[in-house]
Amino acid sequence: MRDTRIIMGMPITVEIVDAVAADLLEQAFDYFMNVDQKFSTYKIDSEISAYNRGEILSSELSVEMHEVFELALLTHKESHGYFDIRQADGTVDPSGIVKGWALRNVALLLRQAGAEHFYVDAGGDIQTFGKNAEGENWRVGIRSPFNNQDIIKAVALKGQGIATSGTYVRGQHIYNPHQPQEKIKDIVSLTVIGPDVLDADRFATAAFAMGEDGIHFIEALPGFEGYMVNASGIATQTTGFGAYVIR
Amino acid sequence: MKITVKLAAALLSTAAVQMGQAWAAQPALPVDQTAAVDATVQLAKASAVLHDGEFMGQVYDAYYGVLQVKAVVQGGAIVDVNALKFPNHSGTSRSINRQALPYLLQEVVAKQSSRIDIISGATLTSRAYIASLRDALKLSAQ
Repeated sequence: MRDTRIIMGMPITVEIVDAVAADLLEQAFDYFMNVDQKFSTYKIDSEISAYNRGEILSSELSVEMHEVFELALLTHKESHGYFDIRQADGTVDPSGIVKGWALRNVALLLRQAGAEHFYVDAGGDIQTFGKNAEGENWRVGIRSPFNNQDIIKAVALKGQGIATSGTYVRGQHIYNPHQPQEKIKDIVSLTVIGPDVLDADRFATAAFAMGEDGIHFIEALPGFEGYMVNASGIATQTTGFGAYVIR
Repeated sequence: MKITVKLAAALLSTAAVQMGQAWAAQPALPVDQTAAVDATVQLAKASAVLHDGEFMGQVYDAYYGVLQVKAVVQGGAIVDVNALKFPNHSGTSRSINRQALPYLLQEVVAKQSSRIDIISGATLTSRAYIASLRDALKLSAQ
């Protein structure tokens, strides 16, 4: 069974291949709704908004908020300062961590409920588990940064998480092979495959911010592989990425 | 057009330019780890003056092993580049290569038609987040 809802401002899809309780999908979506209520900087009554207004002290934050803040701090260190949830105006916006964290937790929830073959997709960041309905590894396409309708790579995942950070190039003024001087080094898409989607997402965001050096940051991370695309349409991949590619 | 590069892009560029310029003998260049992306650009320019056929680059000493490429040219464009020799003969070299910037595989992206279950891509939300992050980084780098 599979369903898609718009939560946290993005399409979230859960597909479960196993025969499990029918309300399991509903439980998964409820979890995302609760996360949104707590962590959304767009909701004035969320915990993060109250914290940013100074209405709650650090010591009064929920366990979940503390966990996300600690993950943000860890990512800040691991990415040599490139990842930072602190905003210029003094507030914090943990949304760069929350999506991957929620995805991982929903995957754990499904596992604990007995599901063995499923995926959870929040806005293009995905946690897979087990096999697809045909008994194969989950087949994931990487969307083209140049055309929303196309995929530029297909990978087979068996329980890994995958996350893509990027900007989608709009208009011909950016993608112009005859005048590449200005934009040619811009990175438009960086996909990371890792043991779980939380870490893949954290590192994809941090690596994207590093520009063209980002793929080398991923290369140096044991257990993670990456596929980076620049504005001129050249892709660079880490040493072990090819093992996932469907040819 | 599909270009597959599985070796030092800087050296590859040198080899491709040589092929386009009547095999002029050139000394081996040191591996320039910062030139990888620039080299890719040069490679694309060089392809405009190439003749069809298969062309072998010279063997270069890449410090931790030797390196040689073969380029396949069709219709004046490079359609494939193969590494005939490259330094991966020992665990040590493999370990060094994982940190040597130019050694990552590069290719021109192309639309795929594989059957898939799911699509991974950036969302509008993360796009805004990253745009902001990059702006902040630019400021911090000034």
